Amino acid sequence: MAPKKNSAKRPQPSTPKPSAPARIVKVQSSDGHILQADVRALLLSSTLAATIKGYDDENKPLEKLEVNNVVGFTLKLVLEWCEKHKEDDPAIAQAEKDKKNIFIPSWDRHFLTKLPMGNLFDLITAAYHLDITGLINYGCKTVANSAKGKSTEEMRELFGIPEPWEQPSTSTATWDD
Amino acid sequence: MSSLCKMPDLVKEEIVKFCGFREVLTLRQVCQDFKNFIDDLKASKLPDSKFENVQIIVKDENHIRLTLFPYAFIDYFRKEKTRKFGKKTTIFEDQDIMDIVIFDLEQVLKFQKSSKKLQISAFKQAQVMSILPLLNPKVLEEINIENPEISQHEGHDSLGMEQIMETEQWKNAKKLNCDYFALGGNVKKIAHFSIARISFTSVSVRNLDILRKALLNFSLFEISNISIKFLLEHHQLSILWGAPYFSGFFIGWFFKMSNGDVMKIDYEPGFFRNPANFEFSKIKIEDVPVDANVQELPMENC
Repeated sequence: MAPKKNSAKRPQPSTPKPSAPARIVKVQSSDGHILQADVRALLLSSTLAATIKGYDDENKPLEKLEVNNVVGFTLKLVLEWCEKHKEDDPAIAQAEKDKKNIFIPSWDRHFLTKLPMGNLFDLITAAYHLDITGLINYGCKTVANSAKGKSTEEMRELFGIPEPWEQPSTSTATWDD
Repeated sequence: MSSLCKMPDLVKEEIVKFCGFREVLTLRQVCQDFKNFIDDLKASKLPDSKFENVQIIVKDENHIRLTLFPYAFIDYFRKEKTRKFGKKTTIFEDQDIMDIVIFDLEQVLKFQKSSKKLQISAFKQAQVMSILPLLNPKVLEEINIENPEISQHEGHDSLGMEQIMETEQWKNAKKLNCDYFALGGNVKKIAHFSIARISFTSVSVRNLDILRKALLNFSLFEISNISIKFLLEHHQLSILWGAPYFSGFFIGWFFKMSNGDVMKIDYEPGFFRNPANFEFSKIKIEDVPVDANVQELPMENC
């Protein structure tokens, strides 16, 4: 398949540096699941990067990071995404943050679209709490893509909004309500 | 299951940023929280609706139509207190339908980021001010303020302009066409328009000279046509600009502009109830009559 037109404009990841031995740490979710991750992957999260830096600055051994606002199932997805992107140049995500349209690479598109919408929302919320810019970008773009061409009812069903909303006749009701 | 409405505001903002105009309007209807969220978002965070043209037409006393080219039109009926959009009719029992029209228009213009031209028929400053500030000042290039026939019959030829002239939209626009005599507005406030046509109730020659000096140094200047009902201190014209050049019906002056072109000032003195008229225009040096004097004022005067 021919590459997408705008993929050429996308900043390219920097050449991977000669890989140092992976530094693996344990990460514990809010519901007590313990997972393992490469520190380089965790550095994609500004929140976790600050915690790791705190340990390193004080020369304290880092054995386990606790992530109190993300459950195990979602944390596993977060770590899988970070592992895939640990070699990325952080400038890519920062540059895409201010764009109104971005290209989602095929691995990410497959990874994010296969998730049920509820899990995708949890993943984006986790990315928000952990401040992972690239994952927020791709996650939000995936949600926006899924809304294309949908009616109000279809969006309610897709986005987990159970009760039909009754429109009151007030001045805040616009022409299309 | 997690719901879109319960997502953090910054995440919702990101999602809206990637959505198209139609998706955002649909999202606005999925729940009250999301509707409030979108209504509170700054226009810069919303997608562009890209309507080719947004028009409000007062069909008659009872009927107003808002047209969004090329997609849709919405009708408002004052007596019935109703709004009709497609097959849907909404009744507004306790509200003035004009408030609904303005509110809807505000919502539409929040998404209309590429409006380059405002054309409005109005007979009160407040009417212009209900629309003009809603437009994106970085994009709006042209302002046309027209006098609806209804007010001409009543002899209304003046419009308060002091608030209009203070808007960012006015200050950034490039072209102006105003049917009215501006009340409360200073002639100096049109010095940034490349093309302008406007009238003033009264202007002093001193202020007219300040405008001339500003235009001499304005590289994008093309033409300004200014009618003045009461030209104050008119005897100062020949003191400030020298003796005018006469040729047939032409009375006027020629000044060298800072970019090498020439500013021609075509002066038609007022008589009886007719206002005086000044047309400032940029011409090439070769278009100046051979016997006319092109004045080069000392720099301190410019």
